[in-house]
Amino acid sequence: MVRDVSILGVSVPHPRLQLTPPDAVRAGRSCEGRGLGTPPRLELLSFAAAADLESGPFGGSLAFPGDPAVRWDMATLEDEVAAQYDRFLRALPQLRTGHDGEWVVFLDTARFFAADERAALRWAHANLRLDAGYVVARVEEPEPVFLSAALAYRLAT
Amino acid sequence: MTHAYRCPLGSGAELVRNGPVVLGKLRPSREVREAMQMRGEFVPPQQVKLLIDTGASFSMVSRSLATGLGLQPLRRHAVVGVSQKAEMCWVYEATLDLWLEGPSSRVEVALPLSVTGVADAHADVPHDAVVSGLLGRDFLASFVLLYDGPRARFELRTERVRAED
Repeated sequence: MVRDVSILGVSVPHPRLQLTPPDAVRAGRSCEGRGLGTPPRLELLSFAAAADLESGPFGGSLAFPGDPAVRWDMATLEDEVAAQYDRFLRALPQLRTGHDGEWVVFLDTARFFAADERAALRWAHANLRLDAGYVVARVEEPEPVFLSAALAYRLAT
Repeated sequence: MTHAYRCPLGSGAELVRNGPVVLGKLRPSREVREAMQMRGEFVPPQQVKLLIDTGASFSMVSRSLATGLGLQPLRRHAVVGVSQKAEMCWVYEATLDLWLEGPSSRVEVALPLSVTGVADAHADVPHDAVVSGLLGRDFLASFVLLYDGPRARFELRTERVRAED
């Protein structure tokens, strides 16, 4: 479904926006009264944000954070994160030079380094879409970990 | 300011049999919840019983529980489970709601938690019939754990609650 984008109050058709309304809205039911608030409404604050739609860092897909309603599909998200995780592993030797032990937000390349996971997640939430497929991981050699100490004991015996 | 999670009173035998089990609610992170809300979706928080396991380096729940709640995948890592072979498992971003006792009142706190989704050992057993997962040393990094066998109680104490942003 192609939807218009409201830029500074002016409605502009945008062919690349694939907006799926909530089921409740499609069914003609109001979200209000169900504790869900008003239905989502896309609104860009500037033309710069609109330009992001075409030339954003994610291959021209919708690029403003805080709009996770668009094209957010949990079924395919794992595939995207898995692909990004493979890239992360390939980049790991390079990342460990200078950032060993830090946490990284990785999307095609290292986007942000942080001292802990929470700080990395805060950055990702503020700067990336939920459906971008980003990876948040510690920069370290991945090693298998035991589910529980009991399993380590069983292995040892 | 100290806040503490205290187990419901039980007998010493119950604590031995069940272990230090934390009762809480698991749900997606605030950002995912907001995204779901914008789609007109609402997944109710899942009541969980999580066993504190100082032998586990990370916290885990069943993968079906994680995906059912719509938790955000963050990365993968290799886990040696009951099969004794390393298997790649997803790590998800979640929120754990716990009731903590403060100096003057009880407060429900939303704690950010990364959980590993592990293949269900008992797929045919409902989540509420068994322990839903483990709270490992990643979770305990924010708490002091007091296990008091003679008094049949345990306590998780923290000076600084690291609640959801």
